[in-house]
Amino acid sequence: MSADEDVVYQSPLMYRILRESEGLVLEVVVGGFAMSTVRVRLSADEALNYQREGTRFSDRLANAILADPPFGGRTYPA
Amino acid sequence: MPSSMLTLTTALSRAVVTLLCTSMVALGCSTEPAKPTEPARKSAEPAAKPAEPRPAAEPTVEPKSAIEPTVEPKSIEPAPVLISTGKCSEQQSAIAKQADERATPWTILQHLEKNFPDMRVSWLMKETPYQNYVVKTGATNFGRCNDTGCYLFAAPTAVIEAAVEKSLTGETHDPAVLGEALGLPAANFEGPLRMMTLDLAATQSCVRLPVDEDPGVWKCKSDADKDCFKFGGYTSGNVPELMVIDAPVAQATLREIP
Repeated sequence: MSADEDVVYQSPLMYRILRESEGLVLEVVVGGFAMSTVRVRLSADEALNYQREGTRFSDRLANAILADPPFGGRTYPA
Repeated sequence: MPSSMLTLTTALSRAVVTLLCTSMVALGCSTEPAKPTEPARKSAEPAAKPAEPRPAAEPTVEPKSAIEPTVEPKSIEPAPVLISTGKCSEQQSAIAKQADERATPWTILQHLEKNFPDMRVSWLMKETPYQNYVVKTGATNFGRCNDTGCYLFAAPTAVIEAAVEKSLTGETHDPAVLGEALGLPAANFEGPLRMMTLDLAATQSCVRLPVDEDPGVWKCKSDADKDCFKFGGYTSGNVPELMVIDAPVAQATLREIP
């Protein structure tokens, strides 16, 4: 957690969209009775989809990460 | 022998003993010849044996110990905890019923009785997500929330507590030890943690077996997978788990694990 985090959206589904200098990052709380967080940097297409669809898109993306936290090797520990 | 004869014989015996004692009083004769082991403590060394209440103390100690077992259980025995799935909505009751049917012959009630006999559940969060998703948001319920409720995986408090205690190494904890004890990757436990505990008997929160559709479920794809979901009430690391719906933040107790 850094002091200059720019939280674009915080979901009750326990994920956040953060704006970093390189672009948007999706942070998701994963795990069962032991919870931790992973992050994935949104691609240009994903960022565009988020701009278009808003939380409908981010909910889908977050659920996809919850269902498979490695997310094809794209996630990294928060 | 007739009783009159017995009485006479007894009286004569006592008279003889009394006579003998009267003449032998200086020798410390006892009128209790039937207890040959007792004169030693009663009269032979009366002044030198104040500390010899050993034989005398035993009878007073023994009754105490004989009484204590009957008293202690009454005063220490905890009140029986009512095993219950709590107050569930119609929707959650339906999901719970389907889960029980799928788990047959296992049920959530059997699961609670066996693995959560004190109805206390716990879960762990890393400190940073705890701050970001519970404290900063002012969350009223733990877990992942949607329109139907907030969904939280939890394990028996005793299991997590034991694992945490085992992992403590002075001022911090060993994530590898904690991970091994809970059947999860050590990475899940790196850095400061928060352990939350909820008394389900007090909160009456709805609980059921977790199902594939619950938020946060990462279904296992092989037996080798860890940290993923297997239906049936046990994690892939064989730790009992259940799903708590709308676990209230205000009624949880917190423990910092540095």
